[in-house]
Amino acid sequence: MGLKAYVATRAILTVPMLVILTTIVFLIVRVLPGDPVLLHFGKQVNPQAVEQVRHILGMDKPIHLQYLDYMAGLLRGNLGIAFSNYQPVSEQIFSAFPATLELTLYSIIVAVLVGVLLGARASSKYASVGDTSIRAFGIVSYAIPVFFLGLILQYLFAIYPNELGHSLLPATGRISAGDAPQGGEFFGVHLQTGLYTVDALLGGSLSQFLDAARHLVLPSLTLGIALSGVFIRITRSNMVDVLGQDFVTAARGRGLKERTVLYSYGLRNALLPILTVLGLQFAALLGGAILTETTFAWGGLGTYLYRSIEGYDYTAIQGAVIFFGLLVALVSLVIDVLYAYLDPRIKY
Amino acid sequence: MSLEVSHLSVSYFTQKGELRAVRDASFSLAKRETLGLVGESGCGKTTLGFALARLVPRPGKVVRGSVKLDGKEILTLGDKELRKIRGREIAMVFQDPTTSLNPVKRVKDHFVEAIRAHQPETSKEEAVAKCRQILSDLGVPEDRMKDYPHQLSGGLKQRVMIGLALALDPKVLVADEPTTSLDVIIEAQILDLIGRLKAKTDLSMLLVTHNLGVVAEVADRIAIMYAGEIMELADARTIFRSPLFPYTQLLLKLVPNIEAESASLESIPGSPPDLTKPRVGCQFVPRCPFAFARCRVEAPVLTEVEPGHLVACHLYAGKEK
Amino acid sequence: MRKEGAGGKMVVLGSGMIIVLVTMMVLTTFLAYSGIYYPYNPNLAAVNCAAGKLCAVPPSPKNIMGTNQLGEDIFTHMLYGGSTMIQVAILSVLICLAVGVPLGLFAGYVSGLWDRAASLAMDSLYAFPGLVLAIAIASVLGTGVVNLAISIAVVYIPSYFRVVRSQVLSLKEYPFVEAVKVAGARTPHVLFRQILPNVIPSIAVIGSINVADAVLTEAGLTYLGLGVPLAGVLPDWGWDIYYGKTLFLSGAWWAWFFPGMMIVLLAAGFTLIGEGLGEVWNPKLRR
Repeated sequence: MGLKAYVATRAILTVPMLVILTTIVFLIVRVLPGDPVLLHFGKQVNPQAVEQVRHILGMDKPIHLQYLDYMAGLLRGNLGIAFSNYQPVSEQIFSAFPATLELTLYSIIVAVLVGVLLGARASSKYASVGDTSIRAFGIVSYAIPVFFLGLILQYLFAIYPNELGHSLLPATGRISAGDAPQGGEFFGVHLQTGLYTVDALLGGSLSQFLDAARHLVLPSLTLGIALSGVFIRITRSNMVDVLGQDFVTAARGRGLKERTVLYSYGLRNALLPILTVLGLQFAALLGGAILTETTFAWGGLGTYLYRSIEGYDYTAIQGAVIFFGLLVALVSLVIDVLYAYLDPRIKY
Repeated sequence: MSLEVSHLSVSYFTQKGELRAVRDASFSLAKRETLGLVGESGCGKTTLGFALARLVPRPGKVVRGSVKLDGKEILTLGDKELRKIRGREIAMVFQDPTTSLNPVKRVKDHFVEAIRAHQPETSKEEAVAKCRQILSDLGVPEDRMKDYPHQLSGGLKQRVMIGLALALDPKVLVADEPTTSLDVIIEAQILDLIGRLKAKTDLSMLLVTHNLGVVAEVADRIAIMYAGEIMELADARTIFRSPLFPYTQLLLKLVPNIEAESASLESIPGSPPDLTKPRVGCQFVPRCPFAFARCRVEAPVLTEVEPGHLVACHLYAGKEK
Repeated sequence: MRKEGAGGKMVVLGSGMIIVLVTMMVLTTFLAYSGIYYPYNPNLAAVNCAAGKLCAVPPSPKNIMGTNQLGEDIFTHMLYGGSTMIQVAILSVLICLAVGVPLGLFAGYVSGLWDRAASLAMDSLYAFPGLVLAIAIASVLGTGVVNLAISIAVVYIPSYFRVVRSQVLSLKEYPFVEAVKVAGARTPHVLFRQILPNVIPSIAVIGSINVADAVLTEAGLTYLGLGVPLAGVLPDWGWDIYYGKTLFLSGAWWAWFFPGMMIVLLAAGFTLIGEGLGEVWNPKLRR
């Protein structure tokens, strides 16, 4: 099988997974005890109004027809109408997504940099004081609730300096007063990504870029550090493994620099399991993003989900959950393909 | 005189205590000479070979002794000087070629990297050219240069490993069981290759093996190692014709024909000693047919009993020269 | 069990932390329900607090960790506030064990269609963002110790399934299993008497790390307002942070910081046990 065939097979295998996933979400909302509509409107509302809402949302139909409607809608990218404001959920999700994407991208960079570098360092100093303290850091960063870490950083670097009359870093939001960056011309096309740092650069505004970057520091550090523990652990244990192998000793025996041995021999061979973990951690990353966004009033999907929970808006919750699932399935597909591409030993 | 090892001791500091893998080993290796270091597995021969380039893995440590290469002490070198020695002056070939190459690097990249680590002025093209020439000398087809290690057979991998070791024209080659993991036919080819190398270059070689058949073909001198100590050292002919140490004698008796490829040391009755608890006296006592009272209380010292023939055994007390 | 090296030390340290925290929880729950409180009643203001005013007092000799917006002593909350969290976490791990382990044993042992179907379903669940799924389930099921435990368990069952299944796949080829089968043993006997004991070390490792995950997920759900409602006599660290957050701008950091640290200790304790056990039982990392 060639690489293309492998990618195709892998992509086709994603389909049943998505079907199961969306069905689970559908069943959770429809079958589990508790009536979404009633919960949303509270008990005082008159039954006629409730029936009307049910009718608008198509929830008065038999469940198998609802399921067909729902699946047909999904295929067209239609995630239904939100209870709270009767707007299409998919539009709301697409407008909230770039904020989450921006946060997660920078967080992954932080997590991988901190995790892989510290993990590699710990393995090269196996069982020393440095190794022990890096492991301790890893365990604490794994055990700390991400929102709690967020509160601590927010207090230390934004609120407390403010009390003293210095504004060090912004505590909340994605950008200071004023409009969001509008993007700009890129190879003759007007481009607006919704990623503020990118849009600011496209628009050629350095001050907007710095402002967006300053807003990103605390949230992405929070999410990145909370996630780094896993990377420290996996990097360290894989590196200890790899560094004990013959080809590493052989490389030392050829007089290669310790840096070359550590990174080009050690890390390069430990990278594949790390990549797998990155794929698996993407789900955890999104979970962490919800809590981080809530803490930093970051207007992304997490905040959207949080508001939907507060308002018992079930179509919105359902839509957001499905979108998250889709995202994870997509990322794991990409990771698998990358994996096949990176490891010369894999035969497709 | 090329390589001079004296009173070298190496220990592994494990949770079970100090494992004394090499104890007070002394020998020398002249230019163009091949020394066979023979012993059963776990006797410390591999550790001794590794110690020459200070490659003993953690938690192992050279406890005392000295390794001098052309008069220069290796054991006290700084990291930078040590790197210059490794590969360039002392090169290694490992037992298992399947695990000794970086799985994510092509064959030629190993060469380019090693050559340029020592001669940064060499261009990539020159390094590749050198790689091509070395490999063709060793009988590796040119198109295999672009392969990844997993695409090569065991024999080809070992040729590549040998080529890598020779890439920088080292003075000393330490080959640790270079043929053990290969099948008999490939083993013969590799041994033949090593024999031809010997004839062609100024290379000194330490051939570490548990297989007497291997050393019979290529070694000039042979050192017999038991339980971390060198017990007998003489030229190859003397070892095969008139061995002195009882262990060596037993070995040769067990081997009907020294050319036999399977002449292996694992067939001596009794089991090798626990190196974490060395006994008082001679280590071979429990398996020795000639052991007497003195052997149990006093450790014998490696002594020259005939010109060029050294043995550590009380049976030959008083014959010292 | 061998208590050697870093792994052993980690297990001992982690177990110590958990024993202290759990003892504290049992003791304070007992005290609370007998009407004896120490040092203050967690639900009554420890400082004079006029109605409608913020009463958060910074740490002082009288209230060593300060008080919250209702004037309640934070140190008392720290002693009393762990029980819900531990209950939810332990219960969810028990559910995982009860569902994930037998399912994994079964799927790995029978192979074929059943195995493929179960694996596909579990992989789909596994790929799902855990917290999001827990949110979805918790928001529909409603809150409460059992409901919350179920929401969290659903997220983690696939981890148990995968580990157990892959081990069974290799274990069932072993001669000792073959021998028992040839001797005519029935499938349940082979599964639970022969194979299960060999899988227990891995289950123990993910089980303990999973308690930490469950604690963190529970805390996260509470932070989003989906926690077990405060009803009885006991306070809760998660809710302390939830409410403490409202004091954020007034600078009363002690109201959320100390309860948060308790959650960290609880989760770190279980993480240490899991990682330590993993190292003790994994010869690759034990040198």
